Amino acid sequence: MTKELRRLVEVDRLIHEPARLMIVAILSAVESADFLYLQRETGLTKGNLSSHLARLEEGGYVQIEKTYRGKLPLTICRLTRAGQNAFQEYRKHLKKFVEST
Amino acid sequence: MNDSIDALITRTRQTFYSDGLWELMAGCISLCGGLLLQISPKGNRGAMVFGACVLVIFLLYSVLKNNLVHPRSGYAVYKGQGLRAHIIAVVKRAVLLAALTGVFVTLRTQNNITAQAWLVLLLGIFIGAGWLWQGIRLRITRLLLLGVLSLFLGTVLSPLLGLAAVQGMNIIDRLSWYFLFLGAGFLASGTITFWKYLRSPWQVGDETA
Repeated sequence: MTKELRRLVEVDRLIHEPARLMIVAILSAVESADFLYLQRETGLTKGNLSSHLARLEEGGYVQIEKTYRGKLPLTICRLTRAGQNAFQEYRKHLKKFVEST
Repeated sequence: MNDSIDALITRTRQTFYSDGLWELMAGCISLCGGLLLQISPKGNRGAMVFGACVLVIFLLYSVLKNNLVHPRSGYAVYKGQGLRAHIIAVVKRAVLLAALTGVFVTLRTQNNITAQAWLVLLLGIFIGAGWLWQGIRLRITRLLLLGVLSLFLGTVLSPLLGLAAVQGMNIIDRLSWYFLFLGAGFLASGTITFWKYLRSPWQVGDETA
């Protein structure tokens, strides 16, 4: 395996999945966003978005806070420090790979 | 790939302005300022009326945001809206305001009508540059146009062009017309954007995704 290919294999798989990459990229541009905002921006179904968020939360990349806004339930998501670092690292990784090929 | 991620991040940042409410709010504040300068209530009373107007506009903005925008587009806190970012922004704005007030007072106390008239140009450049920067950063054409409008108004109302129509104006009149025209521009832009936003379909997630 070439050095370049090895670099691609080493990429963070938790972020690399397209739907999760979208979620992380959106959350990197805001401080926090609710479930509806993420659903609207990503175009994912509730179930799909929910499962991806759960995976990211398990990985420690996203912090999810369940609260209320008036009487309506509100799920606030934000990128953790680890998530921000992982996303920056992922982008660097990708950039290096593209430059080396 | 990185370009697509950048595009997604930029699009997310653009959504802050997608409803046009911010422009409507800025337009209303600008119009209030312009109108108050036109009817020029003296001293503290003018400042109090302006403060009350700004408060009412802010409340209206919050009500519209909470009842019309958040149920449609969801709720997000953009970078720079958190507590720490707010404190930093307030300090930066206070320093900037102090510097501008210094320039304003210096020029105002010169008793020189031409020197005072340059204030409009400074204001036009300052506000215009802010909107131009925001328009370039977020790639939103209408913000660029608002920046150009501010620069244009500042230039036309300053003695730079020597237009006969504005030669006899005092500084208050120049500032008043600047704010009135700028407010009208913001309101037009905000109204069109808000109208388009309300007419756009609610993009609830595709069940087949």
